[in-house]
Amino acid sequence: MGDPVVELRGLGVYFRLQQRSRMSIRKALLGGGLRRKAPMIWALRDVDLTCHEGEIVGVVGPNGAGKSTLCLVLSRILEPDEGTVQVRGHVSTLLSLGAGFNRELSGRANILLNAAFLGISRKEIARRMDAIVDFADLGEFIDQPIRFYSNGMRSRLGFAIATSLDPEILVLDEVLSVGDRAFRAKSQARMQELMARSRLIVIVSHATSFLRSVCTRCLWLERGRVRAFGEAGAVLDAYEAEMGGVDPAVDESEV
Amino acid sequence: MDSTWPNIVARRDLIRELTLSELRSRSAESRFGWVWWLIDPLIMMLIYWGIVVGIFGRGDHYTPYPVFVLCALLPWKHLQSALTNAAKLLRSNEGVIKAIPFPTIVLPMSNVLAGFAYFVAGLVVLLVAAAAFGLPFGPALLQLPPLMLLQLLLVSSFSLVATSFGALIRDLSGFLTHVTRVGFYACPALYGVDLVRERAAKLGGALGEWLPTLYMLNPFAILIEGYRQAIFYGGLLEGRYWLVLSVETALLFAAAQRIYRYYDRRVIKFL
Repeated sequence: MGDPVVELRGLGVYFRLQQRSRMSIRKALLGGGLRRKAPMIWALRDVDLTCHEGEIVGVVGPNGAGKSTLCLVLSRILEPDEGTVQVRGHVSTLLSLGAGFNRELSGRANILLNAAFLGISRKEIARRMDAIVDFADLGEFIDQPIRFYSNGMRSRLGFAIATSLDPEILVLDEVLSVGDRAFRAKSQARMQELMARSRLIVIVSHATSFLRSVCTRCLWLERGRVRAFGEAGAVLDAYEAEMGGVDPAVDESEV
Repeated sequence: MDSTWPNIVARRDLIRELTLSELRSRSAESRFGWVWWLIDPLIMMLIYWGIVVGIFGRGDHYTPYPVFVLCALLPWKHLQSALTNAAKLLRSNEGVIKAIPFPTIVLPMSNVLAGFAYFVAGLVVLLVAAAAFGLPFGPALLQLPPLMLLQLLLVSSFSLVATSFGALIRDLSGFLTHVTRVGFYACPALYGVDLVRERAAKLGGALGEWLPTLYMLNPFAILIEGYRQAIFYGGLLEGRYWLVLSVETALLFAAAQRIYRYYDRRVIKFL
């Protein structure tokens, strides 16, 4: 096993119930709403995890298990409330395709904007522009405002931009299935390339067959805590047994 | 990713792209496109000229009144649009904040810069109008660059705080619209600072003496007076006002950054 790339020790992240419904100005001014403490819910608690160079780690768990929160912490978007996070290397994320697009701008202008969000320099994106446009394969739509795009077209453009990176550590959250059948074949080939180039990949998915075929180890989260972490086959066997087997609809659509 | 200066500098490409995108999309939404940048201040100027001079028969004390009033309207509009947008900023960018790590402070910064571009376009209209009304251009205009810099920092300060609290308080944007409207009339926008001094003197006593001083502690009152000195009166803003404006702006900017950074790590949980 290679050197540790990600080390989580005693990781905990909580949300307060009031954070889901923002207060009104009246409450903020008169009720001391900004200071009042509402009950907390731990999205992740006591999570210990070490991932090594060259690994592909799958993350499974039912809805609300803390999988997406884990992705946010690994991506350094969300800071933990307790415990430590050590990530050795630059993290690239594929958590939501097309996030940050401006509806009024053309596909080409949105490539520049989205690339800037991802931290790709203007010079670098100019070099990759033609490749991204070719991969997204949107024809004349590339110069139209993206408010005219379908959801699938938007995802294709988002996927083409996000996967044009050379990631060190790649965090994926259920974004493997993009576009029509032809584009999905192309996107899967691109994912394989990315996986081959990355030092560490963390994939959150409900598609257990897919995880079984690509992952070296799997993490099973349940109510924010680690239920199991180990060799992919063994963890997924136990997870499927508890969940009542593979969900064919999920495995068909997500891979 | 924390909103620290090294991270902000590293993401200067993002600030530029966001600012340009905001300007392009505002122009795309407008029927007149880029021309609206020049038409908008002209219309504002004509409306207040029509109301104050045409309907109420006032403003002859400040001739040409369109130039006088636009000196105040332009910086005030910058503040007003920056604040009302800021309160919705984190909410409307929730998707990207939760998907890509970047210092979120670039969002309010770009919002302020996009508004500043409109301000500069308006300033060109103002200078052309001043020339058309025969106002002489002199060395007083050299005061414009430092005034513009202080305005940028001042608007950024209020905008940073509004951005943070906008994520926590759902109706802040509407509230700020009313606050800025009240603030507009509390600033020397439609009238001059001389009128405040004159009215205070009539009150007499300590109040009459202190009221103008208190009034001029408002940094926007000083800023507006500065633009008027530079363009309308062709004079120099008094040294004490430069000092007060600079110190207040520096303190507000430092405090606003601290507030933004304090809430920066917490605010994502509210989105």
